[in-house]
Amino acid sequence: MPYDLNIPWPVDNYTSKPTPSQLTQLKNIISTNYTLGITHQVINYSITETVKIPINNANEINPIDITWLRNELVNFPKLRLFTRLTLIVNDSSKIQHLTKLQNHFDLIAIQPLTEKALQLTITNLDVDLISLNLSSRLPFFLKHKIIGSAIDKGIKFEICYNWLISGAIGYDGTHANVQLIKKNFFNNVLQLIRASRSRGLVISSGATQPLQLRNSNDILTILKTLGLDRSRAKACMTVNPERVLVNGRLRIKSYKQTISVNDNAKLLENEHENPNKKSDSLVYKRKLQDTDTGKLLKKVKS
Amino acid sequence: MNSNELEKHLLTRCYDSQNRIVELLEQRYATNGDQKSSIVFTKSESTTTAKLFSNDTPTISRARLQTTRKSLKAYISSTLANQRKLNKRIKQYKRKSHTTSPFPRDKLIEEHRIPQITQFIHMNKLWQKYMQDLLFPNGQIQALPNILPKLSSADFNGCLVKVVQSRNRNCVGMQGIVVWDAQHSFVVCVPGTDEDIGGFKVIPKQHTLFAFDLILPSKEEQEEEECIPFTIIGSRFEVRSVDRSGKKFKNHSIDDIL
Repeated sequence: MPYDLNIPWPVDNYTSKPTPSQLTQLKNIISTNYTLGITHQVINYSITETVKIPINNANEINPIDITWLRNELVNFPKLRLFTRLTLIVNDSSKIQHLTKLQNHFDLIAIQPLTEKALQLTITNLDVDLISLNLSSRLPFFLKHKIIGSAIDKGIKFEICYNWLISGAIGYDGTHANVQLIKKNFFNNVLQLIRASRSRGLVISSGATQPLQLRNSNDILTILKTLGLDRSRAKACMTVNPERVLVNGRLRIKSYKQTISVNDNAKLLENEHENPNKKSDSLVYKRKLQDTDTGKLLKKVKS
Repeated sequence: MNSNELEKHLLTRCYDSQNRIVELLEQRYATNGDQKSSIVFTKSESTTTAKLFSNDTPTISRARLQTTRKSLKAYISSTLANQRKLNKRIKQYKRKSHTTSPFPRDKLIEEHRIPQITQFIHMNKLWQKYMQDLLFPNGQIQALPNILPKLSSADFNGCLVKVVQSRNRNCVGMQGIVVWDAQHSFVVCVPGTDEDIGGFKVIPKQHTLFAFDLILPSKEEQEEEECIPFTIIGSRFEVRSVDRSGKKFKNHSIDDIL
């Protein structure tokens, strides 16, 4: 059951709404991804630190309309959609509202632009994922000590493969040179693999068009070219993203990872959850007769 | 008089008769007559007084040696041994013959005192009552952030749990009432099946998820009882129930949960 942790939401601020064509594009991406066998998909809303978040208005914090998307994609029964927030930061100390945001998004990711931001993110913030901008040359050297401490804490690092294939089709032209992007991508990923010692990596699409998606065999080939062995490459698509999702979901569903609400007996499930008010407990309410407990009690009493 | 006390005590080791000791002491401190500056200690005749110098401690009675903890441990391990024995006998019986009289299961269960889940149903009822009092004091159902912290410091003896995920595949699907909530494991009383006699099972908490259902306080107008399902993440729950109330839980890397 592969995962895709990055399907960009077309808008990157709170003021504008996505146009209908953008939403159809998003639906196309999700359905293409589903036909490729990816059932757990995360829609990524990414903003810079200068964007003002409407903290006081709880309904507006998460702009992704997940109920609408689910109703539109009702034909895919196994599809699970999650939401993610990526903050692009220069200075991690400026982020104060992170704890308030945590209850509105399934995943919280940080994209640090400076070495200081990376270090502060790892030591101080409670995030699931760190996503480095791999298309441009990193302004700092990735040290094993810092990356290793992040992996020990359970923070994973994201590799978006869309930079590698966006060149030939649908290249948007804002970047200077396709060749340069690919060169930077390989350089940066190799650096990341070296610094992380091939542990704690997550590969996701980041695709803005359906044609940029690839199936798991192709992704495995890419990762093999980058120097990961097969089992580790597979972990990048299956085990590691699952852990990221479980980590993010447990933050919402459980108290400090001790006791969580049971949703189909899976830790990362969000089928019954109320998307607007995640702390609502009544949505999980069930009849006792239908549960295993009720059945056993009935059997024993009779 | 205090110094006399000591001397008196010493003299009891030498002389058997009380009168003789008093007489000696009176002689020693008499204002007139012979005031002796020394006491003569003689070797005592009797053997009982020699006990002071031997170093054996008083023996503790058997009843006092038996603590609750130890006897619980002994009880659980003896029950487990009995169950193993009975299960083996059932297996042997099945292998041998099918024609003769059915296996005297109930009789053997009684004979070996295998605990049955019906005996613990009342414990589960008590636990549900305790949970309702703890979580919904006004009969009102609160939001998750209020319920979950209380649950994580609650007591789970008597809870009906089901193993939903575990690294040990044999544990998955086991369902029973928690009889004892130990630090690293749950001792659960499970109902019997055809192959298995039932009784106690010790399920380790590490790498295991336990599901349980919390029955909501029922109102008069509705007949059917409703519940909210929860999951215990065993790897993060390895604290004794006594220590759990004061424990501060923390988020960690989740790589070890499953």
